[in-house]
Amino acid sequence: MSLDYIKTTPQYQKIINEIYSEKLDLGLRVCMAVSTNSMYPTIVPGTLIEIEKMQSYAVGDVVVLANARGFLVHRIVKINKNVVIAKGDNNLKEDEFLEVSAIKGKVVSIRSEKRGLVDYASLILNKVRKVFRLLFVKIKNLIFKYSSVPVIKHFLLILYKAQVIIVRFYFKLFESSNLYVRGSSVTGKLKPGLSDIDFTILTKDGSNVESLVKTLKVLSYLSPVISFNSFLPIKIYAILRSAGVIDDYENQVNIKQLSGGLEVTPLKKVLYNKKIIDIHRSLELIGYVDEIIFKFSQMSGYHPSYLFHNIKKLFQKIIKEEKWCNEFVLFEEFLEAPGRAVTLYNDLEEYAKALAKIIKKIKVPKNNLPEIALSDLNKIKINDKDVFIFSKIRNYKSYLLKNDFDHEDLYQIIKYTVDENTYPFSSGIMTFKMATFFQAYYVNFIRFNDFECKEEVINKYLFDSIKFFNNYQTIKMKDRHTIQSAARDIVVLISYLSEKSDENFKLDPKLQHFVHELDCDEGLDANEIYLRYINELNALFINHFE
Amino acid sequence: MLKIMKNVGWRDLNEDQLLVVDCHTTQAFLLSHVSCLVWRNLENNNVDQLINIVLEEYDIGRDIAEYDIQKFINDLKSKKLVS
Repeated sequence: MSLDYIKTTPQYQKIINEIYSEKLDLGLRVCMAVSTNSMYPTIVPGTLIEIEKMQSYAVGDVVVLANARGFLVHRIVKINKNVVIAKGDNNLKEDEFLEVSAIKGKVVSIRSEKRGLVDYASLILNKVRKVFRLLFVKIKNLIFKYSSVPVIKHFLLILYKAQVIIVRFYFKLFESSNLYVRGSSVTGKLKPGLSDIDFTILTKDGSNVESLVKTLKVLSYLSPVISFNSFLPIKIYAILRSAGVIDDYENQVNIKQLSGGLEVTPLKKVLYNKKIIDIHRSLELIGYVDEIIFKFSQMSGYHPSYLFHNIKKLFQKIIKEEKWCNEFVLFEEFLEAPGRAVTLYNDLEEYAKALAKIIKKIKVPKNNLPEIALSDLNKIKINDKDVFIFSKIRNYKSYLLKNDFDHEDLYQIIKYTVDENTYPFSSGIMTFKMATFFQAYYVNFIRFNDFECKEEVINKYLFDSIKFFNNYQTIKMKDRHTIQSAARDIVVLISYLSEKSDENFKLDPKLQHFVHELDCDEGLDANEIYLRYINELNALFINHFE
Repeated sequence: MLKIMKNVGWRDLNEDQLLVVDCHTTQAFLLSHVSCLVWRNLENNNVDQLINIVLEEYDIGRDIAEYDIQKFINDLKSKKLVS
């Protein structure tokens, strides 16, 4: 019988926080250890602080706040009856705003403090670091400005190559270990306060791939091209993109400039095709609205401040890009105003609906070209790398099935993507929306066309979909759409295989069970498929894949 | 009978494990199996009753159970988790 001390790992932290909240709500004074230096030098890491719940809080109070990630100890910089904005004394920027109810208590005393000479030295170094950081950003921007100068161009090229080699190395290292990337913070923006890498790469067993994160962090400081993504292999790009490690330097900066003058001619050819730009643009606009609506639908699953932050960014992007400023000036002011509480979300929803109506008036161009001979697509080599990006499917399959689409343009995009092993678009949230679009085309193509490696492709694709579906469930992914889409793909392909009369088609024995045991109905949408088949799919995984 | 200190909170993790947190010292403890059983019954039973509860669940001698439970309780007291 033993009483074992445990480390407060994330596994237990949530429970511990619950206990703390409960005690504070009972009016007890509790203690917490501060582990980060965000309040440095006011509170040194390792300090034990005493917290007590108060009737009210004021600007300047150091408080414990609960956000989506857990507890944090920061100072209140703005507060009204609904909302609080806090900031770590040592942080460059304010936190996202939280509801006042997120304040768990006020720091009323410091019970023990570990402060030594080293801490005072750190304090000085910290100030120096801030200055250095700002200076470094200036230097990086300057390097970009003169990136056409041969010496600088070569310097950037070397940095970029080093970066790719390291990322490839790490990726190879973890390729077989069911790598997942979660998190959405942005880095590489070259702006002070925004260049922290703040994401997690997880293996299936939950262990963090810390070394990769650290390496990328170092690289983000060293290399201005960390934010350049168009030459990364798709697979690596997909991982980094979804992790938010790589981001557009600035929306309007062209790719050549970003790459330090690297050769980008083939990419240009695709990017400057007007039709593709139109399609891309239309999809992007629809995508914004989808994203907003999706985020609303996820409202209960996320912390409101997280959602608000993202929704606000999306709205602002729409407003900025579409020059609807005059119509939405009031709305922008509305967004900027502090102190919005519950009613904010209702209002936002109304705006989302209104915007959706406007945006959906912009139609995807109709297919005026003769349909491309799909057999030409046989020439495209499909491999693991492509499957990964294609697996990022979401809503657009049904869209593709229902709408006319310019096959020629899509063919060009896919062909380029595969031939060059690159990803031709660099827009923010739309990256995977576009991948989804390719995916829809891809699935339809492999269903309805004959080509040499068809068995291999279908087996591989189905296996991957099953794997993704299973893995998403394992990690309890909140994004239900992704799980639904994976389920839908499985069902659609199995449906195809069930109807297929070609006995020579060699389907992997493990997949046979799915074909024989799953009674498929293709005429359902992703959500319906998910709800209808979830139990059967799970049972099949347990019986044949575990 | 023993009483869990006001500043101590706990949660079941599963049938065999629970987490005890001292909100003054910030220490967290993981209890498992027998200690879990004892903890869950701590406040409503005296030591003799606790011994009987353990003996009902585990096939061990009374003297061993008595020794273990007493040691465990002393441990809890020394850490100021119970009084």
